[in-house]
Amino acid sequence: MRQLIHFLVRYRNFFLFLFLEILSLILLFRFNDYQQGVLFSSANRINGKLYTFREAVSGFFALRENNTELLRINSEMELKIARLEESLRKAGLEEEQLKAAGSYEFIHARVIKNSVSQLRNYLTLNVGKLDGVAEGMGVCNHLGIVGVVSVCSDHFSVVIPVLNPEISFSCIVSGSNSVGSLNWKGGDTRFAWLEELPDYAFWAVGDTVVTSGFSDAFPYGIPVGVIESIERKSNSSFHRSKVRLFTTFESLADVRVISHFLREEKLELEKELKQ
Amino acid sequence: MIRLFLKHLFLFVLLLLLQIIVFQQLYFWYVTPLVYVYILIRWPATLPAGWVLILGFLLGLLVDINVDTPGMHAAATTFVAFLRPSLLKGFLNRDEVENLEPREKSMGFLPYWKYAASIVLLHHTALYVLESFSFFDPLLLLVKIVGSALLSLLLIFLFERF
Repeated sequence: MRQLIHFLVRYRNFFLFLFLEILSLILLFRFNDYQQGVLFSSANRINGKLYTFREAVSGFFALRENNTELLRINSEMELKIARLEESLRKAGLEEEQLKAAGSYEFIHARVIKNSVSQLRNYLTLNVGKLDGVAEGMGVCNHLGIVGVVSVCSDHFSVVIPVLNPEISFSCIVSGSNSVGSLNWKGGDTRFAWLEELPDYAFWAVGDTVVTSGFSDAFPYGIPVGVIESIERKSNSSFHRSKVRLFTTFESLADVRVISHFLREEKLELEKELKQ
Repeated sequence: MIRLFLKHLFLFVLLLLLQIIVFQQLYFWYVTPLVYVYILIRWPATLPAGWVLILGFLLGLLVDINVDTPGMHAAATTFVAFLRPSLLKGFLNRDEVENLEPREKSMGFLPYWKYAASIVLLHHTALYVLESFSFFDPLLLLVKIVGSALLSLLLIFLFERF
């Protein structure tokens, strides 16, 4: 017994080292991504405040640039709306019918923390539960998809962006029925891979990729990117293609969280089915 | 004693904030400088090994919480915190340990940079190897380790001159 105590005391630093190292690894492999607690993420209150402050400072210097960009988008939108209204009026739809048709809305948010250099990147937004954000909601900006909300506290939320190999998005090649899953493999932030695409015949380099609407996060048709190149696998009927993403993740500032009116209803229905 | 403690507390907070607010956002070709290791490098040589471990773990955990990688930085800092006493002893050829703060001036140019470079390299290697568990690309891993280590050391070189 005395020898054991002597042994433990003598090597106490080694045991402390082992204990702390094991604790770190448990944190690393258990608290990953989806089940990650709010406390151990940048969605906690102190970090949220810190990032809000930093974003306020850095955001100030980009005001002019952002303004021009917003004005440009605004004029584009106005044009789009005008054209849509015109075509809808031609189709004989009334304004009341139009309102009922919309099934989702945007919650505007600012990215207060962004990372692109890590292998597993995360974003933090300045909106949380109190703003109507919930876990699993999709996030996009005016260019295309950004990611999915992973955890949220009352005022902040953490988003897993496309630039994180742990997540994949159900996408469709616009104008065809080829559904595949989009996944980022580390490295170049401009490209991701669209995998498990079944037919070769219906799509080609230069085609646009949009979200399929099969997941709860995104409705159909949010832009994703353009097919850059196609890689054939010799031993399977599936192909994968390199997709040039529309979203530039290095300069994310204003994003929208997509809140689906019927999302909860859909989730409940699916839950019932599973039981 | 109090002054020493306050000085290191100030350094701890300052470098941690610098890392989180500035350096974690830098992005040159997949390479990020991890200057917060400098905090660990500068702790006095007389700090007991147990405390070095606990503080090292806390340092890593604080970075983790901010970059949403729970455990990754903590594992890497705990690893170098464990090796630090032996490294210090190894590179210090004289017995001038009392109250010594590892700096270029106090240790001498070569011993100090051997010590600092080993800590930085060991830390970056541990960190990026852990990071690569979910997706392994040996070339990218090497670029990240060497590139980030060079950048971190360059920044530490500048800090040493202030």
